[in-house]
Parts: sequence; C-alpha cells; structure tokens
Amino acid sequence: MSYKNLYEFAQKQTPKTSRNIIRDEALRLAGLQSIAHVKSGMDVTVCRGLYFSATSKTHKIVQQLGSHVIITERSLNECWTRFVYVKELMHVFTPAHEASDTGSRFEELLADLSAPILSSPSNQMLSEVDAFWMSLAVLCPEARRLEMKESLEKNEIDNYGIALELKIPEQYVPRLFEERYLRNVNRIIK
Amino acid sequence: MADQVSLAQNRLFGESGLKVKDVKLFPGSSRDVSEAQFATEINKVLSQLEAGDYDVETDKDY
Repeated sequence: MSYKNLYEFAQKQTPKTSRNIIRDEALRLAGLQSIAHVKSGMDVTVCRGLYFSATSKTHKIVQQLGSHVIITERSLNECWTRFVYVKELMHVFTPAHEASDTGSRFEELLADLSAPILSSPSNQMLSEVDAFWMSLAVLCPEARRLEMKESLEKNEIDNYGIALELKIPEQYVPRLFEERYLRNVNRIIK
Repeated sequence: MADQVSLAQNRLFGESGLKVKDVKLFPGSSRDVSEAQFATEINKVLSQLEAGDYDVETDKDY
C-alpha cells in the first residue's frame, strides 16, 4: 500500500481533515503498529521537527518510544504542529532509495538542506520535498481546493481564511494554487 | 561545530546508536543554516529524548 491510497482516502475527508484519522490510515497502509509523537525543544529558526525510524531494540529511546518517532518543537502552535507532524508522517511512505539510512546519505541531506541553490538534490532531499506536497495534498481535498481557487479568483476569500479552514500555516496556502502543485501531486500519486 | 555532524552520525548510525533506517527533518524559518547547525539541533533533541526531557503528545486531534 502506498501514499496513493492515502491520497484517495483523504479526498473523502472534510476540512479540517483530522490528523488522527490521517495518521491511523497512514499507519495501516504502511503496515506499522504505531508512531510516537513527542515535543521537545529546538531552535525553530533551524528546525521545527524531526522523524526517525530506528532499528536498535536495545537503545533507550526505542525502548521508551518505539521505532518510529516524530518530534515537533514544543513552542509551535497547533496549526504548525499539525502541519509539521503530517509532513513527517509522510515519510512512512518513503521508498528505501530515498531514505537517509547511512551516515553519508544523512550528511548529503544536511548539505542539501543547507544549500542556497539546489542544482542536483540527493534522493533523500527529493523525499523531503515530496513529503511537503504529500502533506498539503492530504490536508486539502482536491475538490475543495478547486472551489477555494475559484473563490480566491473571485476575491471571496483570502489566504488567511483558507489557512483557518484547512488549519495549515498561512504561508503555505499559496503553494496550493501554484502551477507546480498539481504537477508535483500527480507525479507522486501516479 | 563540525564535530556535531559526526556526533549526530554516530548517534543515528553508529554501533551503539539508534541504527536508523531513515531520518528526516522539517527546516526552520531561517534560510541560512549550516549542516552543523542542523546537526546541533538533532543532537539536542536526541539528548532530550535520552534524558526523558520531552512531552508525549496526547491523542488530542487538531
């Protein structure tokens, strides 16, 4: 089962889409029992959240939280926490060739995230970018997105109103209506 | 600061580490962040998790 199944499931939801329902379906599709969500302190100018999938059963963190963990920064508001959480949740669908599963691939990812211009992103970085579009697409059903687009064009609604309805950060609302949005989503679900 | 990347690599992939099969992150608001700064934040988070300094999120839906 893949992200495409989750995408189709999400089309039947009504915004604001329940993150718990999305989580439960994502876990079911990915064949995972659970994923822990914890909040900790980070410098939010550097990092808002983190996901990892660990295999060391003897490690203290795995013993406490399990293998799959999403960490969000504790000062984020619910809207941001929700979006960061769902974006990190999308990594349960990351194919093996896009995983940061070695020290060198991890270092490549950090280098890509630090690069002012990405000319040839690593597979790990492509996964980060895809997860962003994947999360937007599960939090905004396509039929509602098209209605919102029309309302925006008629000046009946603004980005803030859309952000409130979808409960996503307002700064990401314009991404929903860019030409590349459907191109990216269609590429991911094909 | 460069040591922070090595430290994070060791904690994530080393023999006594988490042995992760994937790790990903959500960048913050600054566009000018170095590899070492990302690694520093990851190391901070791992230290907090190891020390039990974290809050388990409830099942509250939002």
